[in-house]
Amino acid sequence: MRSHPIPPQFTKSDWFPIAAALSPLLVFALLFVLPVTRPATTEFVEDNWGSIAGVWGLGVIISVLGVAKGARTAATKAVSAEQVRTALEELEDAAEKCTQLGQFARDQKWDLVHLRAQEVMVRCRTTVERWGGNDALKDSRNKVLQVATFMRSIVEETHSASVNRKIILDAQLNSDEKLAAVVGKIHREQESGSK
Amino acid sequence: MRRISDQELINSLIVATEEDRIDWQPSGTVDQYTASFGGKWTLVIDKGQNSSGDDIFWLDVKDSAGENIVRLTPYDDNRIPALFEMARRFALKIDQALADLLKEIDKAKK
Repeated sequence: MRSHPIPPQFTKSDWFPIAAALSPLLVFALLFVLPVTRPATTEFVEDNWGSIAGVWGLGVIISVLGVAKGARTAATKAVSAEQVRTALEELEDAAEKCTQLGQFARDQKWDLVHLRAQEVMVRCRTTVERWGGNDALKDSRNKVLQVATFMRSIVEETHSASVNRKIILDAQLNSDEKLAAVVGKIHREQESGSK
Repeated sequence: MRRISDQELINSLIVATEEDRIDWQPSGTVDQYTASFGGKWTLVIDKGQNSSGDDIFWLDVKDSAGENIVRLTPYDDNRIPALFEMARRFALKIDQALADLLKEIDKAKK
């Protein structure tokens, strides 16, 4: 079976807990090496080996828990970064389609406007559902939800007998602004997170 | 869980709209205004005409998937046309335009 390399975020801080777990051994080794402390240390170890082993075991468990917690945090961050990257791709695609929608509306190609509006609406809904209930994204979710609603209204408008081009273009422009704001915010957060 | 009445919802929306706490925006269709909240909920208030040419109003509350969870009409609460007018004034920035107009009229007086 092929082994995958361990990501650096899982390994870079591992030496500290290992050193912490082994540090009592170092102290005892020193005490054994020094002729002055050797008899007392031997006697202490013989009398209390159970307690020493217990305390050392507890230390090892705490270190292992610390490493596991760090690994879990790193894994959560990796999943969150992946979610943001996927959302960014979807929203950039939605923004591009929204701009195309404007061009089709100016050319009064209502079938294409209808199609693009549906595509942007689906992208927006999928993104909001994927983001879940993260409070930090509330404002962005509101914007994306509004774009989805604008797109739905554009779809409805293209069904009407006399399509109102101005109102469609206004909604498209508003959607473009909102999508650009959300995409810009995600880019800023990605850049500040990578520094 | 406590049951929320239609009147309670409309009351809350009217107060919030009066206090400019709802960012109503014109949608992509005539006489329709929308606002989103909490990253989950979307309000859509709409005006149309029935077959005899009378104005009809309705308010939809949608979830994040775009599903309508509540639809209220003036039969449920007769303040819906007033809420529509408030949403329209906010979305089209009518009060700001009128304030600007009054300022210009005052300037012309001096």
